[in-house]
Amino acid sequence: MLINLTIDGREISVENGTSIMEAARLNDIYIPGFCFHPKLDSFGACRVCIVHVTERGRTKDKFACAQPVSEGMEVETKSEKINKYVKSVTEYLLVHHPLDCPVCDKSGECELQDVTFKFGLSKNRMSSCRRNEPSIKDNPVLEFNHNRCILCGRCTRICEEVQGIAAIDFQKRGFNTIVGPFLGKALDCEFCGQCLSVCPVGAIQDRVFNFNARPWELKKTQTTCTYCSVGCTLYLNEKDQKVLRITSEDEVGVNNGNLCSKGRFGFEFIHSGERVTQPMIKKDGKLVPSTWDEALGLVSSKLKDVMKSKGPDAIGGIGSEKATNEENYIFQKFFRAVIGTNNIDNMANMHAPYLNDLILEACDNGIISESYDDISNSDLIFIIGSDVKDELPVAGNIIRKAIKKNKSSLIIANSRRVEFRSVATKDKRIVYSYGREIDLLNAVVKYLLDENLVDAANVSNNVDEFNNFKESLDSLDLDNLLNKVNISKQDLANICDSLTKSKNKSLFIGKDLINGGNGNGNIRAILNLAYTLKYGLAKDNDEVGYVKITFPREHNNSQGVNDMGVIPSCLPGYQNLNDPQTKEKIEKVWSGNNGTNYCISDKTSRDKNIIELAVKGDINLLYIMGDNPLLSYSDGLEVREAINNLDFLIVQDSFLTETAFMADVVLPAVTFAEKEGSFTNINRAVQKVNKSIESVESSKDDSSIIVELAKNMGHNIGFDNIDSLMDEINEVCPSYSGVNYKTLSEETLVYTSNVNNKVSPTFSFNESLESSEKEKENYPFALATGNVMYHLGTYSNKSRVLKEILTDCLAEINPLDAKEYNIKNNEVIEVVSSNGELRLKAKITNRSSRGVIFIPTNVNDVPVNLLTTKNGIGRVKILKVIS
Amino acid sequence: MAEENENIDLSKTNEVLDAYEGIHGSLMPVLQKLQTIYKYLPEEAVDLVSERLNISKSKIYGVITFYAQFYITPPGKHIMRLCQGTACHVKGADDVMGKLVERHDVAHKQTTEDGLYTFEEVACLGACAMAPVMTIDGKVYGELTVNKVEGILDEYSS
Repeated sequence: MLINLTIDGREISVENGTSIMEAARLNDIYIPGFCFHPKLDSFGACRVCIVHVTERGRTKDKFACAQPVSEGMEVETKSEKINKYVKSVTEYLLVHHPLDCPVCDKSGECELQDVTFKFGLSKNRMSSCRRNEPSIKDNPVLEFNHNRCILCGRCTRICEEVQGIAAIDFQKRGFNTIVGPFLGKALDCEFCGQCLSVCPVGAIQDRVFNFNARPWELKKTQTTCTYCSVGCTLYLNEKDQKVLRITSEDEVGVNNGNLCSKGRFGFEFIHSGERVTQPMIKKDGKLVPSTWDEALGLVSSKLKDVMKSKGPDAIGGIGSEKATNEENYIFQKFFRAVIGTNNIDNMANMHAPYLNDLILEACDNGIISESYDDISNSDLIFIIGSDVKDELPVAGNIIRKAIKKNKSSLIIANSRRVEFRSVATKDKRIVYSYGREIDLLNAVVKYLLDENLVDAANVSNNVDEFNNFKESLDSLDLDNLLNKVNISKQDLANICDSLTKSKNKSLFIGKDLINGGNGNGNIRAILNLAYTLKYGLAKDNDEVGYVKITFPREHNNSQGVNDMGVIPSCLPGYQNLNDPQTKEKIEKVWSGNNGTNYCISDKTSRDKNIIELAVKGDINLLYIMGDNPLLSYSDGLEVREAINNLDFLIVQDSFLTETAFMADVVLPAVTFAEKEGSFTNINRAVQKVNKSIESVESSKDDSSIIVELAKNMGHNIGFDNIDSLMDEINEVCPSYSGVNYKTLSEETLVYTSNVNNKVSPTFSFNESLESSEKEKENYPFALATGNVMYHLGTYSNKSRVLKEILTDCLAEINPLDAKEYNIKNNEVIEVVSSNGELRLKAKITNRSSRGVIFIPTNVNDVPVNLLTTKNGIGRVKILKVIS
Repeated sequence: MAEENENIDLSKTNEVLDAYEGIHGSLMPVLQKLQTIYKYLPEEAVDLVSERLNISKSKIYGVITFYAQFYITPPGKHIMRLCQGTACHVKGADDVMGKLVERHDVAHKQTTEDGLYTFEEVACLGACAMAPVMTIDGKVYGELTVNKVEGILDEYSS
């Protein structure tokens, strides 16, 4: 319902429930406010937002942030009286707040400074009464200066309302009130810096930025984060070709100004001393610096040699989940056009080869999340197999916001007790036995059908293979199933109750579901559930809600690298490799600007991926762009064997990763701060990446390197500028046909649509893999792996503060198991699987269920993949290391 | 998680929480009950309160430090409250306080080294007619003088 009112004589209509402050800001009318923040609930602490409100002929003074609008209200924001009032409130604040602006990092973007200036406050009538306490620097990223705090409560509220942590709160009272953590201990939180982002004064400061520039000297470049697949918009703040800090803007980007610790503080890798800044060539077993001419000459002659002696299919390429769409597009074009092979792949696809197809099936049938709005409008959020706040931290904020807005129900099912705090009153937590996701989902669908909670006839009419699927479900014994999953029938009934009683449902799928051999079955089981809900709850009125799935994607461009066709079986946009028309169209585009006639090969390896081909000896030369398979490939032994088996390895990266150390040639690539392009996020939103600084030393962006290399081999696959490259992508890849930088730079998100042949909804019955009794006996623990919020990929491990926040890769173990094995916190244990072993420090925590040991991937370059296999269920034993 | 303290019997905390878990606004009565049980609020107990009432530890700490009635360290055997209100001030509460501080070397909200006394200054005990006034373990002593205080303290010296 819209409410009409006037503010300063202007007629305004806003939604019911809006505060005067929000209504004014929406219409660019300035009212000062320290405690007000658009992301936070009204607080009414600072008293500077006073306005005159006339209702029914009576004028009163009200606080704009705490007063909701009402019909016919007349608001006046400027008057002599208001001026006087704001001035005197500010005057009181300045009795306490020190005027140390010359040495304060906030100076220049300080809201208190701005209000003081704006209202022309020059003299204080009272004598000052200030604290003189030392700054608190008990953590790597934030500095607390209690002297400057004006107690507006933005930091405590964002920590609680948005982040769900409440690590800091007001303490003591009166003049002694300060903001801090429990017992005045060192801050121990997510280190997201959300409090920093909202502090109106210099009470909370950025220790990474650390007085390196004045705010007005910084040039801000809007870009997209390079860590996870959420795709947060952030601003690189640069001075003298150095990125000095990262900021965010409220109400900009999918993240709405929220960032996590990686996004906000994990940028130091850009200027890390460990960057590879010039090409390197292996001579006498050692990588030595070289020149671009020498390195590219060597690479092109090697490529030509192998093409000539063994054919193009002896060459393989691994694209990057980190690189831009444009770079990945050029990469696959180089392989398909210049080399003439389809032996290209990316780690996301090798990890879960079934995922692209299943995502497309979900796309075709309208059960995929198309934007975060789908989550924001849900009244049920079902998170399965995801520790959201660690995996995709800002998605956690989006979910938390949706719960608050819609009073949504929340179900979190995980094999561990993951933490997730929200205001959900209907909050169900299910801890299932490790690896039993399929059984759990089968039980849910079986219960929905058996108890007639859904309209089975409608499901059967709309989804293929219903009868077979139903028969398979009927053959299962529910009690037996629940026993395996280790949940009660009441839990199951509760889940089904929430699922059927909600309108808009979001299923948020975590990375747990695509780890190991159950992956395909897990995602299929999710689709089964989604179809059952979609068609089983569809009614004849238009009140029908939706079911939307968010699929697991790990890195910033895990989606884009697949979209761009860096997969062996499909051309860009998942177009059929064996369709002559498509091939002809693409060949024509590629040949057009060249003079050479390119011909796309028909051959593709469907049963073996590139690593497996290399193990077999079918691939002799491997070109890896921006990935570190030695750590990121799911079978650590196999990938090591594959790399050792190669005749020649080329790695293109910003750092000397474990894989790069084994390379014969290392080509230095730039980071996201030094290039233009786009990333595609988890919801398939294409977002712009903008250049903030020039390439560090002689490193180059990935597409330039490949274009140069092609040139060296006598081919021109170059492009005039990034726009013309996007034009080409528009033409070649139909799902990206609507993407252009003009719309991207206007902050419009462009969603890729799928243009493939439609896949009709189909049920597919699967069951969870079973470990043999012998295996269970030898390896009594299940091994769960996943991400922690402070680390992802190479970059975070090259960022100083993230390393300081979390240095060690800790194996999490349940207290009861720890007691049984006599293991104490921080003691070193040896974790042994059938594949290999690792020595790690133990962390005793209830997060791990009994019999489950959790080891984070991506921390401190620990090769967790030495313990895992591609298709198995992770099982390990633990040994206490006696020192 | 706090270092494991064998001396804290958390089953009593659990008992209190059993009655209040899930009830909105139950933090104050829970803290008060725990303080009655343990005489202060041990961190282990606060951990449990935080977990079971789903309130963050820092928020609980905010409440604890807001109210003068809560202790986060074990208080002394006897709790001395000396009034510093206007009437007591006029009648020489400062001298009495000086004596206390001299005798026990404690400041406001501190406990003597032998663990016998916890000393607190309070704004008013509401017995101005008897100023200067103090309470020890709730027992009121009025019209204090430096000499009188010595005698009273001797009564509590064990």
